[in-house]
Amino acid sequence: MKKIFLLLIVHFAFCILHSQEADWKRAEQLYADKQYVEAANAYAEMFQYGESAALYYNYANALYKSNQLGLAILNYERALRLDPMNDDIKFNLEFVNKMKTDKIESLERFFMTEWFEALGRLFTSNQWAYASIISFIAMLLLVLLYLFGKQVWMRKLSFFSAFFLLFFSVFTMVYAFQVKGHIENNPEAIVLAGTVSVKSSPDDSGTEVFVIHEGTKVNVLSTLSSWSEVRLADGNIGWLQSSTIEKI
Amino acid sequence: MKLLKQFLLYILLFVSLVAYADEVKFTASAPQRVIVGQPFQLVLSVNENGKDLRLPEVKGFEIIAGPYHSTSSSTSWVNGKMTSSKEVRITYTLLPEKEGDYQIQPATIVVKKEKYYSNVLNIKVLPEDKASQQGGNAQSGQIKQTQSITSENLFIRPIISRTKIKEQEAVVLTYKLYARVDVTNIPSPKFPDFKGFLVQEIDLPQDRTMQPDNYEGVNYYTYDLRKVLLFPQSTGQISIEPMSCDVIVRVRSSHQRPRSIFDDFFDTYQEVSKTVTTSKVNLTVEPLPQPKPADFSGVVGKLSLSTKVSATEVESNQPITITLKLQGSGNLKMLKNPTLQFPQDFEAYEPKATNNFSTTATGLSGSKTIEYLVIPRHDGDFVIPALTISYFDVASDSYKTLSTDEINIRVNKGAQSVSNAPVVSNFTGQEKVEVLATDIRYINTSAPKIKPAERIIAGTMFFWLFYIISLVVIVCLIIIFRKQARDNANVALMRNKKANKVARRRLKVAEREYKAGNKDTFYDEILKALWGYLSDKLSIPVSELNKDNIALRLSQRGVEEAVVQEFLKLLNDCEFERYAPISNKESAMRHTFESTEKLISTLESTIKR
Repeated sequence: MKKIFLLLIVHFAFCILHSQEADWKRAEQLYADKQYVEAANAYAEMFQYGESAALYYNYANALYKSNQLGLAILNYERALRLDPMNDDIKFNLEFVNKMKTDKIESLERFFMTEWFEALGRLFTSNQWAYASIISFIAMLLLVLLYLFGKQVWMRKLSFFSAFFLLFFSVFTMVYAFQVKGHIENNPEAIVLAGTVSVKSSPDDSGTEVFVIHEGTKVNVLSTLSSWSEVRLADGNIGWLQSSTIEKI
Repeated sequence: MKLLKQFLLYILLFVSLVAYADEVKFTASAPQRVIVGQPFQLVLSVNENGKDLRLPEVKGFEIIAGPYHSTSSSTSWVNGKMTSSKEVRITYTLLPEKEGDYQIQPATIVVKKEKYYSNVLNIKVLPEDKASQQGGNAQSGQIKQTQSITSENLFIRPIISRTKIKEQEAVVLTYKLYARVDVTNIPSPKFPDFKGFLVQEIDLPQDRTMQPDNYEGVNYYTYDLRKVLLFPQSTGQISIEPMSCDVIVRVRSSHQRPRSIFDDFFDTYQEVSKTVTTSKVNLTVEPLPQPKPADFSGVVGKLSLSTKVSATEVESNQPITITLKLQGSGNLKMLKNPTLQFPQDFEAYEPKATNNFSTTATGLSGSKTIEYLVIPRHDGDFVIPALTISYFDVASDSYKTLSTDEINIRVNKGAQSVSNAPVVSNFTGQEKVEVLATDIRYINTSAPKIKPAERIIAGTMFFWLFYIISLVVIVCLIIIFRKQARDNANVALMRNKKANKVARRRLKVAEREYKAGNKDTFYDEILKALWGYLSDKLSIPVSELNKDNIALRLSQRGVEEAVVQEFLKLLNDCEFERYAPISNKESAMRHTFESTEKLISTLESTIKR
């Protein structure tokens, strides 16, 4: 009975894998045939299985080719979240970003802050978290070695290594939280509507502060009914309709 | 075939007729003002031979002569091109019968089977001169020319259309010369500078002549010197300074010498200059009622507004023209281009304004057309909010607001796709990158593992448990190791504790040897057990032990002398037995084993640490 059940599970898993593979190939074929809209739809359907950096990346490519700039940027950003070191994603995102209308000068910030954040973007929050846990455990083992080591050189080495690993563990934990906070506290969003006029207040009659266009990245600071308060890279703040943006 | 020929013929005929018809001009002309009893000429002129001329009934006038036909023609060559013109004049002499305003309806003439109408003539008939009536001088209607240049015979009147007006409302001021003398020239009339007014000249015809007019019952020859539209810019009592000018009058020279016979035939004339000054003109200008609307355009008069949009649904980057037409009368020059609030995303160009004004007695009238050209750069639904303009309506003495409709414009995404867009659509600063990268990289072709979305573990219970568990495990390990290490560190104590155990293990071996009957190994083991036990207990290496220091050390540790002696005896016995070949081996071995066991347990209880 147990055996049959196991067999069923394996079979089911295999079926899913198989259909995933088939869907993937179908979408790829559509993309190769330059039927970008259909390819984008095919990729969009695959999100029922879950997510993956490559899936987001391909979906974004198809979207870009079918002239959906905002959605393309959104999906490149999502892909980059899952795989921050991927060269292709970074290249295409940078390329597509050149196509968008708004060229927003980012706010000049202290270079240390800049570096600190840039380093955080290299890995996902979980990667940082795992690194922290592993280095913490390694640190503890080295403490053991230091306490009960026979040779003096070994004890010295393990002492300093443990010290370094402790520091490293704290450092990576900080990043794990920093990256997490970046995603959760003021999440980034991409403008999907062609043109959005940003108001000074969450109200249609509010003064128009500035206008942003499809593909622009904003930070969502707060939400009030159907309005979101956003901040641009250049530090400007205003309110816009939440329907015009989508969080990464 | 025949039909076609006929058709072509008709077309040709028609074309020629049309071409001809453009040329025919039929006009009527007569003086605008005439005096009762003074005949004048009505001239109808046509530049083609016509027939069946009909003049409608002319009320108030008596046709005393006419029609007289006269024809003149001229031909000229200019640059080898011949132009010929011809004029047929039909002249009537009319006598006005009664004073009043009359209208002479158009006359008709038939030229080449086409009927033409002349223009309508308005004629004002002035009353007869009172003075001439009184004087009984029946010189039927002629304005009496006098020789005396007095202020009654020659003066200039500033005629103002109204004396009580609103701010910015137009008023017409005409400077009119009245003369009953022979005026030949007005060299340089000096007009006041109309301070506090916006001045708009009303063009007077260049070839105007002296017109007869009646003023206070006297007929004069009049001449309009200047006609202006004034828009007062300030309020209150405003007076316009008087003007003065020199008028040159021709008078018959009066000779001192007695009249000769020639004088009756050859009158000699002399030109005399006379300075004429007008009176002041006083005006009351009322301010516009307060408060003025915020969107007041400054126009006082009448205004209407209309808008036109070239398209309300376009693709991005396609231009839209919004035409605003303001029509009305009043001080239209004050009208500034209204600003339409275009969405931020529209590229708006400087509006193009076209004025089509004409000056009339009520002010400027006409229209101002403003064209706004905008180019929406992005898709979306846009609203151009309604534009409101207020003006002061003179007729109702109140402010009126005009409003356009809201303009809804839908901008669709242009056909020009982003990926196929030429490099031009990008900005100059980024072209360099464009050269390097002309397209995005290709999709990922190897099927990835698609997993459900990961949760972020940082900060979760799971995350912290990792730290806590590993820390607890390590702390436990440290505690255990520490205890072990402490024990290990005190080797003597260790050996002391283990001494009995080791001795007993040796004794066990010895017992096995005893049972096997190996005498040598039995004693060997017993000796090892004894020496080893002492070494462990006294913390002295085996190599340094001998029978002398054993006795000393044992007594130092408080072992009784008898036990020490027994121990030494046992050692001696064992050594002896080991090397002695013959012995009652069974009983000796048994005895040795038992006494060793007894001795070790005695020592164990005696020596503590």
